Amino acid sequence: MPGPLVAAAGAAVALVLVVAVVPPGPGVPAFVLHIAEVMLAGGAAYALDDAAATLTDVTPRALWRRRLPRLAVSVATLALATGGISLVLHQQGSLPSAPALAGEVLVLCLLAVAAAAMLARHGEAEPGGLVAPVVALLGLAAVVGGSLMGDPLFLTDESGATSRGRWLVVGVVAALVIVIGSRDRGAAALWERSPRRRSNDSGSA
Amino acid sequence: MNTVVARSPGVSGAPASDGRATLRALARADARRYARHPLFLAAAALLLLSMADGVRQQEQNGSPMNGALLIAFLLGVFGFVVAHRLTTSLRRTGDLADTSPVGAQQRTVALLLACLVPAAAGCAYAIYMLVSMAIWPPVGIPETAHVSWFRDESDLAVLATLVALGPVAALGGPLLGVAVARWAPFRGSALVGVVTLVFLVALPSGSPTPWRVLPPWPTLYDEHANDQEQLTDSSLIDVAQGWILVYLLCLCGLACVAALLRDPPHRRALVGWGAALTVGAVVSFYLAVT
Repeated sequence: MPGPLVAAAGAAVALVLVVAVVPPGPGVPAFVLHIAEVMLAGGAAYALDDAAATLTDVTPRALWRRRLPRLAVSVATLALATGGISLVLHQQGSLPSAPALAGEVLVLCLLAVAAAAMLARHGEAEPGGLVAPVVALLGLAAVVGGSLMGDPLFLTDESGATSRGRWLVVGVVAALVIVIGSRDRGAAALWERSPRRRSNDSGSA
Repeated sequence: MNTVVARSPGVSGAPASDGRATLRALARADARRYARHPLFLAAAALLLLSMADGVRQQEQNGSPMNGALLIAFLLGVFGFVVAHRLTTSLRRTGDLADTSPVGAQQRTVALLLACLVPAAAGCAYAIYMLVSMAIWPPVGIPETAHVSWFRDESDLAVLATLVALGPVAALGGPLLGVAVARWAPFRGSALVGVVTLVFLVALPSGSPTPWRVLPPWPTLYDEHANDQEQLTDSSLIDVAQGWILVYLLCLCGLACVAALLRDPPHRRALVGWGAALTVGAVVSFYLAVT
Protein backbone atom coordinates (compact mmCIF):
# COMPACT_ATOMS: atom_id res chain seq x y z
CA MET A 1 0.00 0.00 0.00
CA PRO A 2 1.63 3.31 -1.08
CA GLY A 3 1.24 5.32 2.13
CA PRO A 4 2.02 8.79 0.77
CA LEU A 5 -0.46 8.27 -2.07
CA VAL A 6 -3.22 7.31 0.36
CA ALA A 7 -2.28 10.29 2.58
CA ALA A 8 -2.37 12.67 -0.40
CA ALA A 9 -5.70 11.29 -1.62
CA GLY A 10 -7.17 11.54 1.88
CA ALA A 11 -5.87 15.09 2.26
CA ALA A 12 -7.35 16.10 -1.11
CA VAL A 13 -10.79 14.77 -0.21
CA ALA A 14 -10.59 16.28 3.29
CA LEU A 15 -9.63 19.66 1.79
CA VAL A 16 -12.66 19.75 -0.48
CA LEU A 17 -14.93 18.40 2.25
CA VAL A 18 -13.82 20.99 4.80
CA VAL A 19 -14.26 23.88 2.38
CA ALA A 20 -17.65 22.49 1.32
CA VAL A 21 -18.92 22.06 4.87
CA VAL A 22 -17.31 24.71 7.09
CA PRO A 23 -17.84 28.12 5.43
CA PRO A 24 -21.51 28.64 4.63
CA GLY A 25 -20.77 29.94 1.12
CA PRO A 26 -22.06 29.30 -2.38
CA GLY A 27 -19.84 26.25 -2.95
CA VAL A 28 -16.29 25.06 -3.34
CA PRO A 29 -14.14 27.66 -5.17
CA ALA A 30 -12.38 26.51 -8.34
CA PHE A 31 -8.92 27.06 -6.88
CA VAL A 32 -9.66 24.63 -4.04
CA LEU A 33 -10.64 22.02 -6.60
CA HIS A 34 -7.40 22.64 -8.52
CA ILE A 35 -5.34 22.37 -5.35
CA ALA A 36 -7.05 19.03 -4.59
CA GLU A 37 -6.25 17.84 -8.13
CA VAL A 38 -2.61 18.84 -7.73
CA MET A 39 -2.51 16.95 -4.45
CA LEU A 40 -3.88 13.82 -6.16
CA ALA A 41 -1.33 14.14 -8.96
CA GLY A 42 1.46 14.51 -6.42
CA GLY A 43 0.23 11.37 -4.70
CA ALA A 44 0.24 9.48 -8.01
CA ALA A 45 3.99 10.12 -8.26
CA TYR A 46 4.47 7.56 -5.47
CA ALA A 47 2.72 4.81 -7.46
CA LEU A 48 5.96 3.42 -8.91
CA ASP A 49 8.02 3.56 -5.70
CA ASP A 50 9.74 0.30 -4.91
CA ALA A 51 12.07 0.52 -1.93
CA ALA A 52 13.44 -2.97 -2.72
CA ALA A 53 14.07 -2.23 -6.39
CA THR A 54 17.64 -3.54 -6.24
CA LEU A 55 16.25 -6.94 -5.21
CA THR A 56 13.08 -7.05 -7.30
CA ASP A 57 14.87 -5.92 -10.45
CA VAL A 58 16.75 -9.22 -10.63
CA THR A 59 13.66 -11.42 -10.30
CA PRO A 60 12.39 -13.09 -13.49
CA ARG A 61 8.98 -11.35 -13.27
CA ALA A 62 8.39 -8.66 -15.86
CA LEU A 63 8.47 -5.02 -14.74
CA TRP A 64 4.77 -4.36 -15.30
CA ARG A 65 3.88 -7.65 -13.60
CA ARG A 66 5.85 -6.53 -10.52
CA ARG A 67 4.24 -3.10 -10.56
CA LEU A 68 0.73 -4.37 -11.13
CA PRO A 69 -0.48 -4.82 -7.52
CA ARG A 70 0.83 -1.44 -6.43
CA LEU A 71 -0.52 0.27 -9.52
CA ALA A 72 -3.92 -1.35 -9.08
CA VAL A 73 -4.16 -0.10 -5.49
CA SER A 74 -2.97 3.36 -6.58
CA VAL A 75 -5.48 3.63 -9.42
CA ALA A 76 -8.28 2.43 -7.14
CA THR A 77 -7.30 4.95 -4.45
CA LEU A 78 -7.12 7.84 -6.92
CA ALA A 79 -10.42 6.84 -8.55
CA LEU A 80 -12.06 6.62 -5.15
CA ALA A 81 -10.73 10.05 -4.16
CA THR A 82 -11.84 11.62 -7.45
CA GLY A 83 -15.26 10.02 -7.04
CA GLY A 84 -15.48 11.34 -3.48
CA ILE A 85 -14.57 14.86 -4.58
CA SER A 86 -17.10 14.71 -7.44
CA LEU A 87 -19.76 13.55 -5.00
CA VAL A 88 -19.06 16.39 -2.57
CA LEU A 89 -19.10 18.95 -5.38
CA HIS A 90 -22.28 17.45 -6.81
CA GLN A 91 -23.99 17.68 -3.42
CA GLN A 92 -22.89 21.32 -3.24
CA GLY A 93 -24.12 21.99 -6.75
CA SER A 94 -20.66 23.26 -7.70
CA LEU A 95 -19.41 20.34 -9.81
CA PRO A 96 -18.18 22.05 -13.01
CA SER A 97 -18.20 18.96 -15.25
CA ALA A 98 -17.53 15.41 -14.10
CA PRO A 99 -15.75 14.32 -17.32
CA ALA A 100 -13.59 17.47 -17.27
CA LEU A 101 -12.64 16.83 -13.66
CA ALA A 102 -11.85 13.16 -14.34
CA GLY A 103 -9.84 14.14 -17.43
CA GLU A 104 -7.79 16.70 -15.54
CA VAL A 105 -7.00 14.29 -12.74
CA LEU A 106 -6.10 11.57 -15.24
CA VAL A 107 -3.73 13.79 -17.24
CA LEU A 108 -2.09 15.29 -14.16
CA CYS A 109 -1.59 11.80 -12.69
CA LEU A 110 -0.19 10.54 -16.01
CA LEU A 111 2.29 13.43 -15.98
CA ALA A 112 3.42 12.58 -12.47
CA VAL A 113 3.73 8.87 -13.23
CA ALA A 114 5.63 9.65 -16.45
CA ALA A 115 8.21 11.67 -14.53
CA ALA A 116 8.43 8.93 -11.90
CA ALA A 117 8.84 6.24 -14.61
CA MET A 118 11.74 8.10 -16.19
CA LEU A 119 13.48 8.52 -12.83
CA ALA A 120 12.82 4.86 -11.96
CA ARG A 121 14.38 3.88 -15.27
CA HIS A 122 17.50 5.80 -14.28
CA GLY A 123 17.87 3.81 -11.08
CA GLU A 124 15.85 5.86 -8.57
CA ALA A 125 14.08 3.28 -6.41
CA GLU A 126 11.65 5.76 -4.87
CA PRO A 127 11.09 8.53 -7.39
CA GLY A 128 7.93 9.74 -5.66
CA GLY A 129 9.82 11.77 -3.09
CA LEU A 130 11.46 13.78 -5.86
CA VAL A 131 8.58 14.01 -8.31
CA ALA A 132 5.67 14.74 -5.98
CA PRO A 133 6.83 18.16 -4.67
CA VAL A 134 7.87 19.23 -8.17
CA VAL A 135 4.50 18.19 -9.62
CA ALA A 136 2.81 20.08 -6.77
CA LEU A 137 4.89 23.21 -7.44
CA LEU A 138 4.25 23.09 -11.19
CA GLY A 139 0.54 22.51 -10.61
CA LEU A 140 0.32 25.37 -8.13
CA ALA A 141 2.28 27.57 -10.54
CA ALA A 142 -0.30 26.72 -13.22
CA VAL A 143 -3.15 27.59 -10.83
CA VAL A 144 -1.56 30.88 -9.71
CA GLY A 145 -0.15 31.77 -13.14
CA GLY A 146 -3.43 31.02 -14.91
CA SER A 147 -5.36 33.29 -12.56
CA LEU A 148 -2.75 36.08 -12.82
CA MET A 149 -2.59 35.93 -16.61
CA GLY A 150 -6.34 35.56 -16.99
CA ASP A 151 -5.81 32.46 -19.14
CA PRO A 152 -7.65 29.49 -17.65
CA LEU A 153 -5.45 26.44 -18.09
CA PHE A 154 -7.84 23.97 -16.48
CA LEU A 155 -10.68 22.26 -18.31
CA THR A 156 -13.01 22.83 -15.36
CA ASP A 157 -12.54 26.60 -15.79
CA GLU A 158 -13.14 26.78 -19.52
CA SER A 159 -13.75 23.62 -21.49
CA GLY A 160 -13.16 24.88 -25.02
CA ALA A 161 -11.97 22.73 -27.92
CA THR A 162 -8.48 24.25 -27.70
CA SER A 163 -8.25 23.46 -24.00
CA ARG A 164 -9.44 19.91 -24.53
CA GLY A 165 -6.96 19.41 -27.35
CA ARG A 166 -4.13 20.76 -25.22
CA TRP A 167 -4.93 18.42 -22.36
CA LEU A 168 -5.35 15.47 -24.73
CA VAL A 169 -1.93 16.06 -26.29
CA VAL A 170 -0.29 16.35 -22.88
CA GLY A 171 -2.01 13.16 -21.73
CA VAL A 172 -0.95 11.19 -24.81
CA VAL A 173 2.64 12.41 -24.53
CA ALA A 174 2.72 11.47 -20.82
CA ALA A 175 1.34 8.01 -21.61
CA LEU A 176 4.01 7.53 -24.29
CA VAL A 177 6.71 8.58 -21.85
CA ILE A 178 5.39 6.04 -19.33
CA VAL A 179 5.52 3.28 -21.95
CA ILE A 180 9.04 4.25 -23.06
CA GLY A 181 10.26 4.77 -19.51
CA SER A 182 8.91 1.41 -18.38
CA ARG A 183 10.44 -0.80 -21.04
CA ASP A 184 11.57 -3.96 -19.36
CA ARG A 185 15.33 -4.00 -19.67
CA GLY A 186 15.48 -7.46 -18.09
CA ALA A 187 13.08 -8.88 -20.68
CA ALA A 188 15.01 -7.22 -23.48
CA ALA A 189 18.24 -8.74 -22.20
CA LEU A 190 16.59 -12.16 -21.94
CA TRP A 191 15.31 -11.78 -25.47
CA GLU A 192 18.78 -10.97 -26.72
CA ARG A 193 20.24 -13.97 -24.87
CA SER A 194 17.51 -16.47 -25.78
CA PRO A 195 18.85 -19.66 -27.49
CA ARG A 196 16.24 -19.51 -30.23
CA ARG A 197 17.18 -15.94 -31.12
CA ARG A 198 20.87 -16.83 -31.01
CA SER A 199 20.32 -19.81 -33.30
CA ASN A 200 18.21 -17.68 -35.65
CA ASP A 201 20.87 -15.04 -35.64
CA SER A 202 23.60 -17.53 -36.37
CA GLY A 203 21.42 -19.20 -39.03
CA SER A 204 20.77 -16.00 -40.81
CA ALA A 205 24.40 -15.08 -40.58
CA MET B 1 27.44 18.03 3.20
CA ASN B 2 29.17 15.68 5.58
CA THR B 3 32.24 15.58 3.39
CA VAL B 4 32.47 19.33 3.49
CA VAL B 5 31.96 19.43 7.22
CA ALA B 6 34.63 16.80 7.83
CA ARG B 7 37.09 19.01 5.96
CA SER B 8 36.07 22.16 7.78
CA PRO B 9 38.65 23.48 10.26
CA GLY B 10 36.30 23.89 13.18
CA VAL B 11 35.20 20.29 13.37
CA SER B 12 38.40 18.29 13.68
CA GLY B 13 39.55 19.45 17.09
CA ALA B 14 36.02 20.09 18.31
CA PRO B 15 36.86 22.20 21.37
CA ALA B 16 33.85 23.98 22.82
CA SER B 17 35.17 27.42 21.80
CA ASP B 18 35.14 26.37 18.15
CA GLY B 19 31.35 26.00 18.18
CA ARG B 20 30.81 29.15 16.18
CA ALA B 21 33.44 28.26 13.62
CA THR B 22 31.82 24.87 13.20
CA LEU B 23 28.42 26.50 12.80
CA ARG B 24 29.78 28.95 10.25
CA ALA B 25 31.35 26.10 8.27
CA LEU B 26 28.13 24.09 8.39
CA ALA B 27 26.03 27.12 7.41
CA ARG B 28 28.33 27.87 4.49
CA ALA B 29 28.11 24.25 3.32
CA ASP B 30 24.32 24.25 3.60
CA ALA B 31 24.08 27.63 1.87
CA ARG B 32 26.08 26.20 -1.02
CA ARG B 33 23.78 23.16 -1.15
CA TYR B 34 20.78 25.48 -1.15
CA ALA B 35 22.19 27.71 -3.88
CA ARG B 36 22.93 24.68 -6.07
CA HIS B 37 19.56 23.00 -5.64
CA PRO B 38 17.82 22.60 -9.03
CA LEU B 39 14.53 24.02 -7.73
CA PHE B 40 16.23 27.15 -6.40
CA LEU B 41 18.15 27.52 -9.65
CA ALA B 42 14.91 27.15 -11.63
CA ALA B 43 13.22 29.79 -9.47
CA ALA B 44 16.20 32.13 -9.82
CA ALA B 45 16.21 31.62 -13.59
CA LEU B 46 12.50 32.51 -13.78
CA LEU B 47 13.13 35.65 -11.74
CA LEU B 48 15.98 36.61 -14.06
CA LEU B 49 13.70 36.06 -17.06
CA SER B 50 11.08 38.28 -15.46
CA MET B 51 13.72 40.97 -14.86
CA ALA B 52 14.86 40.76 -18.48
CA ASP B 53 11.26 41.00 -19.65
CA GLY B 54 10.66 44.05 -17.44
CA VAL B 55 13.73 45.78 -18.86
CA ARG B 56 12.68 44.90 -22.42
CA GLN B 57 9.16 46.30 -21.99
CA GLN B 58 10.39 49.46 -20.23
CA GLU B 59 6.97 50.13 -18.73
CA GLN B 60 4.90 48.98 -15.79
CA ASN B 61 1.12 48.68 -15.98
CA GLY B 62 -1.18 47.54 -13.22
CA SER B 63 -0.02 46.77 -9.72
CA PRO B 64 3.72 47.16 -9.19
CA MET B 65 3.42 44.80 -6.22
CA ASN B 66 2.87 41.81 -8.52
CA GLY B 67 6.65 41.48 -8.70
CA ALA B 68 6.74 40.88 -4.96
CA LEU B 69 4.19 38.08 -5.40
CA LEU B 70 6.62 36.48 -7.83
CA ILE B 71 9.29 36.52 -5.13
CA ALA B 72 6.86 35.05 -2.59
CA PHE B 73 5.90 32.20 -4.90
CA LEU B 74 9.18 31.37 -6.60
CA LEU B 75 11.47 31.82 -3.62
CA GLY B 76 9.01 31.26 -0.77
CA VAL B 77 6.90 28.33 -1.95
CA PHE B 78 9.70 26.69 -3.96
CA GLY B 79 12.00 27.42 -1.03
CA PHE B 80 9.72 25.44 1.26
CA VAL B 81 10.39 22.33 -0.84
CA VAL B 82 14.12 23.05 -1.20
CA ALA B 83 14.59 23.49 2.54
CA HIS B 84 12.47 20.41 3.23
CA ARG B 85 14.60 18.32 0.84
CA LEU B 86 17.85 19.59 2.35
CA THR B 87 16.64 18.89 5.88
CA THR B 88 15.34 15.40 5.15
CA SER B 89 18.56 14.59 3.28
CA LEU B 90 20.21 14.39 6.71
CA ARG B 91 17.76 11.65 7.52
CA ARG B 92 18.24 9.87 4.20
CA THR B 93 21.99 9.75 4.87
CA GLY B 94 21.48 8.93 8.54
CA ASP B 95 24.49 6.61 8.80
CA LEU B 96 26.81 9.37 7.64
CA ALA B 97 25.06 12.20 9.47
CA ASP B 98 25.23 10.31 12.76
CA THR B 99 29.03 10.14 12.55
CA SER B 100 29.23 13.92 12.33
CA PRO B 101 30.66 15.47 15.54
CA VAL B 102 27.92 18.14 15.65
CA GLY B 103 24.48 17.70 17.13
CA ALA B 104 21.18 17.68 15.28
CA GLN B 105 20.28 21.08 16.70
CA GLN B 106 23.45 22.66 15.38
CA ARG B 107 22.78 21.16 11.97
CA THR B 108 19.28 22.63 12.12
CA VAL B 109 20.70 26.06 12.97
CA ALA B 110 23.00 25.76 9.95
CA LEU B 111 20.03 24.90 7.73
CA LEU B 112 18.08 27.86 9.10
CA LEU B 113 21.02 30.13 8.34
CA ALA B 114 21.18 28.69 4.81
CA CYS B 115 17.65 30.05 4.32
CA LEU B 116 19.28 33.48 4.05
CA VAL B 117 20.20 32.50 0.48
CA PRO B 118 16.63 32.87 -0.88
CA ALA B 119 16.13 35.92 1.34
CA ALA B 120 19.17 37.51 -0.31
CA ALA B 121 17.82 36.62 -3.75
CA GLY B 122 14.48 38.18 -2.72
CA CYS B 123 16.31 41.34 -1.60
CA ALA B 124 18.09 41.52 -4.95
CA TYR B 125 14.80 41.27 -6.83
CA ALA B 126 13.17 43.87 -4.56
CA ILE B 127 16.08 46.25 -5.27
CA TYR B 128 15.62 45.59 -8.99
CA MET B 129 11.92 46.52 -8.57
CA LEU B 130 12.84 49.76 -6.81
CA VAL B 131 15.41 50.71 -9.44
CA SER B 132 13.36 49.73 -12.49
CA MET B 133 10.27 51.53 -11.23
CA ALA B 134 12.31 54.62 -10.43
CA ILE B 135 13.41 54.64 -14.08
CA TRP B 136 10.03 53.62 -15.55
CA PRO B 137 7.40 54.71 -12.99
CA PRO B 138 4.29 52.48 -12.86
CA VAL B 139 1.08 53.95 -14.25
CA GLY B 140 -2.55 52.93 -14.01
CA ILE B 141 -5.26 52.95 -16.66
CA PRO B 142 -5.90 55.89 -17.10
CA GLU B 143 -2.56 57.38 -16.10
CA THR B 144 -4.11 59.33 -13.23
CA ALA B 145 -5.41 56.15 -11.58
CA HIS B 146 -4.25 55.23 -8.09
CA VAL B 147 -1.20 52.92 -8.08
CA SER B 148 0.16 51.08 -5.05
CA TRP B 149 3.60 52.69 -5.29
CA PHE B 150 5.47 55.70 -3.91
CA ARG B 151 3.59 58.41 -5.80
CA ASP B 152 0.19 57.49 -4.39
CA GLU B 153 1.00 55.73 -1.09
CA SER B 154 3.16 56.57 1.92
CA ASP B 155 6.83 55.65 1.49
CA LEU B 156 6.94 53.61 4.69
CA ALA B 157 3.84 51.60 3.74
CA VAL B 158 5.21 50.79 0.28
CA LEU B 159 8.62 49.79 1.61
CA ALA B 160 7.10 47.67 4.40
CA THR B 161 4.79 45.92 1.93
CA LEU B 162 7.61 45.31 -0.51
CA VAL B 163 9.84 43.81 2.18
CA ALA B 164 6.98 41.78 3.68
CA LEU B 165 5.83 40.29 0.38
CA GLY B 166 9.34 39.94 -1.01
CA PRO B 167 12.42 39.09 1.06
CA VAL B 168 10.51 38.13 4.22
CA ALA B 169 8.23 35.78 2.27
CA ALA B 170 11.32 34.34 0.58
CA LEU B 171 12.80 33.72 4.03
CA GLY B 172 9.64 32.47 5.72
CA GLY B 173 8.83 29.68 3.26
CA PRO B 174 12.20 27.92 3.62
CA LEU B 175 12.21 28.37 7.40
CA LEU B 176 8.81 26.69 7.52
CA GLY B 177 10.16 23.95 5.26
CA VAL B 178 12.94 23.21 7.77
CA ALA B 179 10.45 23.17 10.66
CA VAL B 180 8.03 20.83 8.86
CA ALA B 181 10.87 18.51 7.82
CA ARG B 182 12.20 18.36 11.39
CA TRP B 183 8.81 17.49 12.87
CA ALA B 184 7.25 15.48 10.03
CA PRO B 185 10.08 13.79 8.15
CA PHE B 186 7.83 11.11 6.59
CA ARG B 187 7.60 10.62 2.83
CA GLY B 188 4.92 12.84 1.37
CA SER B 189 5.17 15.55 4.03
CA ALA B 190 6.70 17.99 1.50
CA LEU B 191 3.76 17.44 -0.86
CA VAL B 192 1.10 17.76 1.83
CA GLY B 193 2.98 20.68 3.44
CA VAL B 194 3.39 22.80 0.31
CA VAL B 195 -0.16 22.24 -0.91
CA THR B 196 -1.63 22.97 2.52
CA LEU B 197 0.52 26.10 2.81
CA VAL B 198 -0.68 27.50 -0.50
CA PHE B 199 -4.27 26.56 0.34
CA LEU B 200 -4.12 28.32 3.73
CA VAL B 201 -2.61 31.41 2.12
CA ALA B 202 -5.03 31.57 -0.79
CA LEU B 203 -8.25 30.73 1.05
CA PRO B 204 -8.66 33.92 3.13
CA SER B 205 -7.42 36.26 0.36
CA GLY B 206 -10.98 37.34 -0.43
CA SER B 207 -12.08 37.62 3.20
CA PRO B 208 -12.55 40.83 5.21
CA THR B 209 -9.44 42.61 6.52
CA PRO B 210 -8.55 40.93 9.81
CA TRP B 211 -8.59 37.48 8.17
CA ARG B 212 -6.91 38.29 4.89
CA VAL B 213 -3.72 39.48 6.60
CA LEU B 214 -3.55 36.51 8.97
CA PRO B 215 -1.71 34.01 6.68
CA PRO B 216 2.08 34.05 6.50
CA TRP B 217 1.84 35.55 3.00
CA PRO B 218 -1.00 38.04 3.41
CA THR B 219 -2.85 39.93 0.70
CA LEU B 220 -1.67 43.48 1.29
CA TYR B 221 -3.02 45.23 -1.78
CA ASP B 222 -6.16 45.32 -3.91
CA GLU B 223 -6.44 45.46 -7.67
CA HIS B 224 -9.38 46.74 -9.68
CA ALA B 225 -10.18 45.90 -13.28
CA ASN B 226 -12.51 47.44 -15.85
CA ASP B 227 -15.11 45.65 -17.96
CA GLN B 228 -12.44 44.53 -20.43
CA GLU B 229 -10.61 42.89 -17.52
CA GLN B 230 -7.80 45.45 -17.82
CA LEU B 231 -6.21 46.37 -14.53
CA THR B 232 -7.23 49.95 -13.84
CA ASP B 233 -5.76 50.74 -10.43
CA SER B 234 -4.28 49.16 -7.33
CA SER B 235 -4.01 50.29 -3.73
CA LEU B 236 -2.57 49.06 -0.47
CA ILE B 237 -5.22 47.79 1.93
CA ASP B 238 -6.12 49.78 5.02
CA VAL B 239 -3.80 48.22 7.61
CA ALA B 240 -0.59 49.38 9.28
CA GLN B 241 1.86 47.77 6.85
CA GLY B 242 4.82 48.33 9.16
CA TRP B 243 3.20 46.28 11.92
CA ILE B 244 2.34 43.56 9.40
CA LEU B 245 6.05 43.36 8.62
CA VAL B 246 6.81 42.95 12.34
CA TYR B 247 4.09 40.28 12.56
CA LEU B 248 5.63 38.33 9.65
CA LEU B 249 9.11 38.58 11.15
CA CYS B 250 7.70 37.17 14.40
CA LEU B 251 6.22 34.26 12.39
CA CYS B 252 9.65 33.64 10.83
CA GLY B 253 11.14 33.57 14.32
CA LEU B 254 8.46 31.13 15.46
CA ALA B 255 9.31 28.82 12.54
CA CYS B 256 12.97 28.84 13.68
CA VAL B 257 11.99 28.08 17.27
CA ALA B 258 9.67 25.29 16.12
CA ALA B 259 12.49 23.72 14.06
CA LEU B 260 14.96 23.92 16.95
CA LEU B 261 12.52 22.60 19.56
CA ARG B 262 12.67 19.17 17.88
CA ASP B 263 15.92 18.42 19.76
CA PRO B 264 16.30 18.45 23.55
CA PRO B 265 19.13 21.02 24.11
CA HIS B 266 18.15 24.55 25.18
CA ARG B 267 14.45 23.69 25.30
CA ARG B 268 13.66 26.03 28.18
CA ALA B 269 15.26 29.01 26.46
CA LEU B 270 13.57 28.13 23.19
CA VAL B 271 10.16 27.89 24.84
CA GLY B 272 10.82 31.34 26.33
CA TRP B 273 11.71 32.73 22.91
CA GLY B 274 8.67 31.05 21.43
CA ALA B 275 6.40 32.63 24.02
CA ALA B 276 7.94 36.07 23.47
CA LEU B 277 7.60 35.76 19.69
CA THR B 278 3.99 34.60 20.02
CA VAL B 279 3.16 37.63 22.15
CA GLY B 280 5.01 39.82 19.66
CA ALA B 281 3.06 38.33 16.76
CA VAL B 282 -0.30 38.79 18.51
CA VAL B 283 0.44 42.37 19.57
CA SER B 284 1.80 43.43 16.16
CA PHE B 285 -1.14 41.82 14.39
CA TYR B 286 -3.54 43.64 16.70
CA LEU B 287 -1.75 46.95 16.12
CA ALA B 288 -1.76 46.34 12.37
CA VAL B 289 -5.48 45.78 12.00
CA THR B 290 -6.81 48.33 14.54
